[in-house]
Amino acid sequence: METKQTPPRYGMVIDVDRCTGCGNCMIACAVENNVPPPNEKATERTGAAWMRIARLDNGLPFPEHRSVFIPVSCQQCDHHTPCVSVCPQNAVEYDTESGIVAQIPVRCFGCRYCMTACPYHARFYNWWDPEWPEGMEKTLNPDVSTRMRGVVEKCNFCHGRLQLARAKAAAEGRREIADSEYQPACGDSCPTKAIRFGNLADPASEVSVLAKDKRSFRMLEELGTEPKVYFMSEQAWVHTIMKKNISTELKGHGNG
Amino acid sequence: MSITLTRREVLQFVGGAALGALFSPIPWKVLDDTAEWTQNWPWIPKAPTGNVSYMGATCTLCQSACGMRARTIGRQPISLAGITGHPFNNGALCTMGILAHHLRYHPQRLKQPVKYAPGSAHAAQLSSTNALDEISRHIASSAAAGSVAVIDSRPGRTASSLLRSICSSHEAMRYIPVSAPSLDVLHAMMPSAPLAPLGCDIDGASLILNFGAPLFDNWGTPSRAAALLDRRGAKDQTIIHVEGICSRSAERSSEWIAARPGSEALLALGIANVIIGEKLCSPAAARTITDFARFADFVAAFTPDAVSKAAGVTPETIKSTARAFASHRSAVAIIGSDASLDARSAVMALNVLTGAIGRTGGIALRSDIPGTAALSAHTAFVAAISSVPDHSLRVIILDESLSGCTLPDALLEKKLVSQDSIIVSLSPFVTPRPFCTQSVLPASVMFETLTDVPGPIDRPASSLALATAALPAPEGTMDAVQFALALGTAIGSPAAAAGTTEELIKQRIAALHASKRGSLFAPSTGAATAMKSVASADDVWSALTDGGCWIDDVPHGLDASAKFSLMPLFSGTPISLPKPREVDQLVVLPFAEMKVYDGTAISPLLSKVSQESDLRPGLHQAYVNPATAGGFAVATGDTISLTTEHGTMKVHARVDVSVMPGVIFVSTAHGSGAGGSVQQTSDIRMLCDMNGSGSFNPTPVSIQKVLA
Repeated sequence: METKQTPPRYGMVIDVDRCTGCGNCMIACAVENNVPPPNEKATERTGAAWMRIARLDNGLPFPEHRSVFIPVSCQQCDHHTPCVSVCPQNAVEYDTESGIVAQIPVRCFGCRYCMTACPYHARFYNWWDPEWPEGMEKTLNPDVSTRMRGVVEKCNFCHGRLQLARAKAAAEGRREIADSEYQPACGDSCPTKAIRFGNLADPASEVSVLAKDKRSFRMLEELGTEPKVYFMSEQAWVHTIMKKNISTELKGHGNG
Repeated sequence: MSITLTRREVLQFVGGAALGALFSPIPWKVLDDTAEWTQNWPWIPKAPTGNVSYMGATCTLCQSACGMRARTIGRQPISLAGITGHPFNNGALCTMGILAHHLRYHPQRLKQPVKYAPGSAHAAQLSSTNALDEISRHIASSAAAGSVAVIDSRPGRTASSLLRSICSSHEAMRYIPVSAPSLDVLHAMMPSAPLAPLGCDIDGASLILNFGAPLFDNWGTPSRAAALLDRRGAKDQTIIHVEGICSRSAERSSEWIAARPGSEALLALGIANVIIGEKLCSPAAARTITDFARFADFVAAFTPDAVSKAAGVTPETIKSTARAFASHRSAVAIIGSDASLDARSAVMALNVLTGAIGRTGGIALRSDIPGTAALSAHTAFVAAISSVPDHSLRVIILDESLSGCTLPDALLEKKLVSQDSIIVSLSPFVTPRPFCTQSVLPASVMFETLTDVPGPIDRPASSLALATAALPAPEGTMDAVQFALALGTAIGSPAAAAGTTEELIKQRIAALHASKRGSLFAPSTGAATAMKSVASADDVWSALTDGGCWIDDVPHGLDASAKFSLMPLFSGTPISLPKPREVDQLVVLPFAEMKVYDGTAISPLLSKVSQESDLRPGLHQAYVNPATAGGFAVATGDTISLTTEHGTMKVHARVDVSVMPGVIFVSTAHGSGAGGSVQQTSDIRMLCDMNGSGSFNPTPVSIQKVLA
């Protein structure tokens, strides 16, 4: 008799102490997901970048001052996912087969309730039609549709890559995908391996082990949204800010 | 039987149908379809379709020569990733490398030769033949020896060898390689030794004394930061970072010494003073220094107490740093590329004093790469830009076909004669230089041309990789070899008949194979094979064109007859301790976080790190410490006016605790600017004092808040 397998719950662990703030994750994400170059009027608040890196400071004066870089994308909330609850158009869906909070731009009519609901400022509204310099559209990723103005978009853990990995596994007669077969662009491009990605439902996976490490924590844990993105740091001040005050820190950076 | 409908019945039907429709999927379907229809306009770009395949490649954007795996549709790369296990980059790429396939379509791509008149931003079109004729006319009329400089932004290529040969055939021409600026002073310290490529054995070093090099931020290969972080975790490598800003590298080093910008030379001489005074230098190393006594006399004035005030570092820190540096078995001192010649010389002197030259974990004197492009083959014609007298060049020929390591425009202007001078450059992009006449020949970019790429400087051994052409180069563009051959033809040099790009590079690969030296990394196997076991030059070619690389054997130590002379570099511009009044002055300094790419065209998507986030400084951003800003009632976002003896400019203030009080850092990096362009360069460098090596000194400045 075939036993029912536990579906995967994909998640991420980001070692803040290894992040150098190089920006590779932001750039690789934009390339993978066909996020366009900015309109000339775009700013930090109106431009689109599914992954952003915020800088957190310890608040001390020079030269005791220290800072860390925090890559922030959709935290893929697992419980009472705020954006799913408020979308009137079913344009945000929680995929029970992967744990990924998916955004379906073609259903979105741009009410931006989800942006208001998101405590992590991880959603972006397309204020302009996408535009690439002439010829550069030939470099777009064929696995991801371009989006027009008037819709909201966000990180989906490079869902196109998951589909490719699933298709490859199916062609080989497998149902399960190894973590090495499916990695989002940000983790793939991280030169310091600060971003680890895998199946949190598998207790033996690297991300499961790291997520349970005493250095690990989640952003705004007290909200109870159970994000599937974990952060790690040995520095106590980073824990303090990330757990409680990060929303204030992100406000200047985010689009929400 | 006839059916009669009353008005009431029709209204009842319509009302009922409308009410019923609300409970059906129809309105939701209409809403959904409307959302879909309104998102498929013809002007929304569509991604290409076709069979996806993969190809190996080598990045040419800087000298790291990272191995890449390109995902392609047809031959068009659509995304790039590092090759896992590659000896240089081990799967990592930098932000520019990830976007390298965009350069072919850059808005500022040059399609045909253009000419700029002095002071004009208007480009007049001309043909390649006319451009080359003009070069030959200018060279023919430049009778003075060395009045024509050929500046090679990426030495060590086949094109470099050709350019050197061409220079050797004409008295007026001199060849100037833009080499790794932190290391090249060593050549001047070893005047009797043949010119050897230099490298730095970062992996072998147990202590790195780093004067401002961005070790954790794109210095060396993109995998360098990961390797350093691993070593930090294992606690088997110490990094002491010296810089006046709490940069990414400063924060991640074992120890950060917050020294006043511009005091690097003084600080290094202070450390040398302690090493010599406490007899910490290696006796064997001291014997290799021909002018040791003179150098000891010279550094005697730079005691820790004397240097302390100017550098903003306590005497105890200077002493403990010197002791730590001298006591480690494999310590090496490195310095950032924007340091002055004095600072680079003083830092390199520390390496000589402690015997770090030629030692494991020190500065490596590499063996030349086999083949005609050997660096030592034409030593007599090689000059450094700092040795060229000001206002002595009539013609500057710039090979800017590969980005990185370019010289600042202000330095080029300083070297040119004031009238009737011309710059001829080979560049893929529009690069106006308004201070003189300029002809620009369009160059091919990455994925359009075959080129050989010498490897990174953060490894002890020489190396070589190949970048191949996946797409046809636009008509009218040329690669560096073609440019060198055309230049040779124009001036009648025998080097002009050398062969095609592919023939010449294949000759080099054949010589590499025949040498049986080193090992060959092939991405297809993910392993390195000793060159002795590689069957044919074709196998070497296949591996290299697939994104692989050749790495030489690690060179043996320093030759027993090697001698160093430290003083000549310090005798040109005597270093003196600043007066207390000068130390307390408010100064301004240009800074670029991604220095290698400063002045280079980049993909518009890089705006994600500056325009659409504040990860990297945007254009014209001035970083000011809160203590300094408070004195002028300046807050983040304010416009401030900076005035030096060279002029005034307005910048946007960013109050940031990571910078030293009393110092204003103004970004020269790529920024988005108001027009969305990523190619604008700040003018802050025009406000700062430039030193002889083309970098900038901290310059006294006054600051004023501009009221809205």
